[in-house]
Amino acid sequence: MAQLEINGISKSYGKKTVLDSFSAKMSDGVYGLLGPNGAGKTTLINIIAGILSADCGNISINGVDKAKSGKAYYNSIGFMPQYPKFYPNYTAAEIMEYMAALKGVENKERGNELLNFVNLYDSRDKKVGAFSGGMRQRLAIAAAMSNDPEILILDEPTAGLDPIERIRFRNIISQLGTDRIILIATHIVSDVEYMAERIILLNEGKIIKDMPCDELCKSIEGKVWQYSPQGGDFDLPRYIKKHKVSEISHMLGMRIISDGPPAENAVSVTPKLDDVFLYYLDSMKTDGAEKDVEQ
Amino acid sequence: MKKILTLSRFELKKLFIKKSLMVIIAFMCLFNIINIVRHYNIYADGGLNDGMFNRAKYTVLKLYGGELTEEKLNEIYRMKSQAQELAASGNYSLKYDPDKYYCGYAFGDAMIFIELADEAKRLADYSDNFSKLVSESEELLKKDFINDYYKKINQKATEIYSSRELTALTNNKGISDFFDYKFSSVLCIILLILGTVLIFTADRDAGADVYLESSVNGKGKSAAAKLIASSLYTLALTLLFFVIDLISFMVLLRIDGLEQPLYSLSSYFSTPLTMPIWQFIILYFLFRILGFLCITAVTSAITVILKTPILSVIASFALFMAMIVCKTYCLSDSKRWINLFNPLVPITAPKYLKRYDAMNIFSEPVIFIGATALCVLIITALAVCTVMALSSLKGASRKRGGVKNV
Repeated sequence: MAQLEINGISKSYGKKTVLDSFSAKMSDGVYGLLGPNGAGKTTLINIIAGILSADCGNISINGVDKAKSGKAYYNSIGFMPQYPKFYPNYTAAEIMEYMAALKGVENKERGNELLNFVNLYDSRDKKVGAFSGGMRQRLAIAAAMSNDPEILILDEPTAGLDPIERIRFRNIISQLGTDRIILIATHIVSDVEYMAERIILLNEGKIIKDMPCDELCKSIEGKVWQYSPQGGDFDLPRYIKKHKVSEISHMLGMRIISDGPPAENAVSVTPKLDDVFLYYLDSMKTDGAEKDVEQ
Repeated sequence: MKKILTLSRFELKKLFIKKSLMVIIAFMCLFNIINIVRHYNIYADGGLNDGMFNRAKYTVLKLYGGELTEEKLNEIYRMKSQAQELAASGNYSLKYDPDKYYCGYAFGDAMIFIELADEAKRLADYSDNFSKLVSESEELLKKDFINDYYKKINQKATEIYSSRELTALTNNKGISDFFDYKFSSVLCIILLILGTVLIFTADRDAGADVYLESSVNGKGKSAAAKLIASSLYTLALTLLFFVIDLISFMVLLRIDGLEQPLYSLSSYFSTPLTMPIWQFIILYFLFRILGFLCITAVTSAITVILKTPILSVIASFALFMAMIVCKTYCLSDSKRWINLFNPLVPITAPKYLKRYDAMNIFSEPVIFIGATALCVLIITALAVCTVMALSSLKGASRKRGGVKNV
């Protein structure tokens, strides 16, 4: 069982603090790192992947500090960047062979096994320049798995994928997550909702919440309301400006995040992860929503 | 080592990311061949080429060339005398008669035999001329006013130039043109800079640098692999242009006599080397490899420092221009030391081996090209160390960091 411990990681660029004393402990399973753009997700995973160095703090894998393990640290890491790119004149098979050489993998068949796993074996002799976005993502996952890492880090893995590719990708991740740590950095809530057992909410470099998915949803129980406005002269745009509205449906009305009922006939509903995201990470609105009753 | 060689294969493949480089190489080769044919096709008619005259000279050389026996020399001198009398008398036919004259004209044939005799005399008198110089050197050594450094130079000259002899007349003059030919070196340097910058920036350009930075062999071993790949590219390019040049000159100028000593060439009559011409061709090739590898290593270091392809190419070409300026203008004794570190010097090594060209290093005469080769080797090693050191730094290529992608 793999153990990843991150202690007090901070990173600044000039006066801007991108990460502020980030600490977390992870063992085998899938973890979602959720946050809006600019939260510090990519910086954090770049530090864990060994691409960037932190200003302070330390990271250890299985109790061994990264600084002490030296180059051996990278043997435990598999990294898939956002919008993965490869050399366009290489074939998929060559990419896997190159990755194996970069990661010091001796097993020559590993590349083909991984291509088969991600359903790219038939395209192994095709040049990567001709791959679709979904094929490139799958190749990137295979490349990240070359060294059978204990810790697999995925940066926005489903960005730009169509629904079918997205489902395919989730299935791959679910299969991989049983015997390693998988850390998925994303701002697409639905991805982690299906895949992650534990969610870390990050905003402006700080951890907001770090708990299992179901507990996170329970933490805002009684703060999510379903409301269907009545009357023809209802000013929807103004209402949206005033309240945290997570969903608008013609059939069901609005789903509103509020500490108290936003209107007389608002009904409390079971929170979802989208609601959690909005509740903790949307800093645009305050809880003055309950003061504003229906017009 | 096996891992580095495997990585080198993939680094070489990155050269082919941009097909334009291969097109440029092919175009440069063709351009080079056209340039050689244009300037050195002396046996063809047309333009400024006096093809008929040169072909006739070649025919006469084939008839009278080879080992210079007493009998042959006398025959050549006799032909020269006849030619000089004919030319002086003015009593010769102006009619084109290829059956009677080698080049078709009486005056033309006369000129051919005068040139042939002059060349034969130069070869025959070589030994005597240098014996006189050696005797003069030996006399000079006995004088008190001469300082230690010049004593040593004269001693070395005495050792080198004594017992030299030339005994054969061949058509090897054209090989001097090959040694002096510089155009392909310029083309080679342009291609080296473009290819080397490509190897070292391909990862960042392709957006694949993150894979290297998050892999155990992605820093030091990859940098070593890139250096090996760029060295192999340099060797291949150097060999390609060298072979093209040599074959072109050999064919166009109908060169033979490569087994003759280097000093048989008129422009190399006082070279300190005693090896045959074919060995000097190999030595010249090795000097070129050294010079080009230095340029490759320095370009690699510039690219690792500057990171972006355009800046790296500009900086490398600027340095190349500076090298040309130093080579052209730093010729005086006080400025010459700058060219010790100039890789263009070994690339044009034959120029520095036409005579005994020594530098005073701690009162010892050191052959300039030898000292330069050593210094260029040191520069190459320093550049390689710089590449390895900078590549091993964490996030060395990550200027973008995480700021844009947070």
